[in-house]
Amino acid sequence: MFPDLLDGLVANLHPAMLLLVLVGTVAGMAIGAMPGLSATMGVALLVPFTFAMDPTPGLVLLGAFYMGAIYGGSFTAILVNAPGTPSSIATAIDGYEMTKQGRSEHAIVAATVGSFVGGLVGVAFLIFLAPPLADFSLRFGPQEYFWVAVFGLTIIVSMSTGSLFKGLIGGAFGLLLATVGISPVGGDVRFTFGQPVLQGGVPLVPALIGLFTIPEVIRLVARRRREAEMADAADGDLQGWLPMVKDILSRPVNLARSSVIGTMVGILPGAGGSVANLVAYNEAKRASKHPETFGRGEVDGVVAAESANNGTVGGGFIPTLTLGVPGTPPDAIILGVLLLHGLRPGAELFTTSGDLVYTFIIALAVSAVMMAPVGLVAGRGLQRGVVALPVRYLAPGIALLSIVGAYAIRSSVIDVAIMLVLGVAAYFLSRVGIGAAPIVLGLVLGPILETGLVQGMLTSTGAAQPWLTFFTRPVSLVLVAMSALALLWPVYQARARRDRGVPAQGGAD
Amino acid sequence: MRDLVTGVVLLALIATFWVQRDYRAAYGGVLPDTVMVLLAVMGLTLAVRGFLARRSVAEETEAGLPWRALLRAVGLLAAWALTLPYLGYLAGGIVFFTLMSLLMRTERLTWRGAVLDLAVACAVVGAFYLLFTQVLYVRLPQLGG
Repeated sequence: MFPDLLDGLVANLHPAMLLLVLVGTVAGMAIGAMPGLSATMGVALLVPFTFAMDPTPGLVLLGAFYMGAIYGGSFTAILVNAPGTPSSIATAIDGYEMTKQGRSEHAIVAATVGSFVGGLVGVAFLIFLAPPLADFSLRFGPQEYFWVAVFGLTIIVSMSTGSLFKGLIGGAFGLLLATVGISPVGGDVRFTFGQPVLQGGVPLVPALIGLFTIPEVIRLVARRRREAEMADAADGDLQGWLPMVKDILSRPVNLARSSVIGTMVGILPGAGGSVANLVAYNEAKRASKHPETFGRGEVDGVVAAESANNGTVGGGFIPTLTLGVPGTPPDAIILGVLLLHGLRPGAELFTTSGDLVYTFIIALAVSAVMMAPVGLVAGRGLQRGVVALPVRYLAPGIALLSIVGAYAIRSSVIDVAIMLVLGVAAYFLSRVGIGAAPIVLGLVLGPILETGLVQGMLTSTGAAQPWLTFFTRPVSLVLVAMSALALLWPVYQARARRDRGVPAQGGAD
Repeated sequence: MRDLVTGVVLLALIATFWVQRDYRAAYGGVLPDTVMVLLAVMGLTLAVRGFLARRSVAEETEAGLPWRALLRAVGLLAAWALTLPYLGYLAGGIVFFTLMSLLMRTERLTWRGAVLDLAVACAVVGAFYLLFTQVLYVRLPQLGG
């Protein structure tokens, strides 16, 4: 392994390869920053360009692009509350609050450092722990995926900045939206209101843009001014980017924990960055000494989400390269490129094509390193541009991007309508205290929950009580315990705060 | 009052889903039915709570926007989306970008300001159009459908 690793490192130090990684990273960041253009879509768009290339530079370009795209999604999430990719949902929660408080530069630096650390941790796991972790992921059956989704839904407890009851309503509403269309198992056509276009379900990206972005556009257009000052004010002692970087690096536990969570979630096929950033955000809030600041512009929230989503890049490649099971959707595309070049995933890939595999893996790390300087320059430039832009151009600009983002996925005007309807609904729901984040959580986790539930029941039909299999498997039991802990921890925290005489955080009714 | 209205709307929404129930596959209705029942119970609870406390103002809700301004914002966005198949991305984008920026002006509108907004709209929408159609090969709606 080590000679191949060294060869990979040397190959990546070649100026042509460095330039390729730089181009891939910057292009990925640009695509990721556009609402609606996900990392998956960007990687798919790039594939034809790699056909004419040798396998190594082709894969390196795709890997760097993927790493950059996941990071790029944070820019618009922070600056205009429009997560560029589903991996940045949790970034928007605190990132946009920081922007409203005049701390957008701090948020951009947090996203950059978090992405850098997360990317490197994911790659380190990929290099040193790929085979055993891939074997472990094979122990996950339908029952375990069901519990992963249940564990994910416990995040609603954290995301409900106001009333927990209303957060639960939002989560259930998201789950209801997730049941629209052809069921993931069995093929029932459900709740389409007679519209064939809804057979594919409520599309995630238009829904995401609608739920997060459209309410902001409505507020901007109606108020004709920004909600808060937005122009960057002095952020305490943090003047200039270097003190901000130091501030973020002074949170090593959050950085490490979130990066490892991202890597682990990335290993689970089908989960990916959209789930990882939410889980890491939840854990950061739970572990925090001041959880009440989350959702109100807490920099640890941005760090957690961004470390985790870039951690999924390395994590997702673990089952992809060792088992041929893609961990995330972009991994599936890159797996296809591997197969196109006659490279079969498995333990043999690391021995027969070790130079290629390790060059690719090291390129992911180089891309994560390049993201830091490039992101600090590009991200802060974008931040200053958005802050300086008159609001009468900002609002139609966001609307323009939202429309193209919703339309581009399926070239469908109906998707634009879905975005708008959900956006208007999200605005009115926010008026009664039901936030967009729990709705998105239900929408993202609904299909995973239902697939696990139905497949688990179907594969256990031989058992006397099929539902008991959800409680008897070892990994399932661990996930059940984690879910119970996730639900009970806030109760414990609230009681501990009450005992210390600290006021409880908003309405856990 | 807001909670009461939300609860009632939620119950109405669930009713529209409930009447469409038609499951054929095994366990096809387990999740949807469970979610609908849970949501109905929560909607009913919300409505009852809202009815009982209809004179008090919920603490966690944000301040509402003036209805006229809200209608202007939603109307503009709805008109933009509805005319998209006919005006296309480029023409529709220029029209509604300009209209939105003109309506968002807080100072008195002048000819010079209107021309500036139109020029900005042409530049921004044109740049996005070229980027998406020529660089990213994303097909966008055209004028006339």
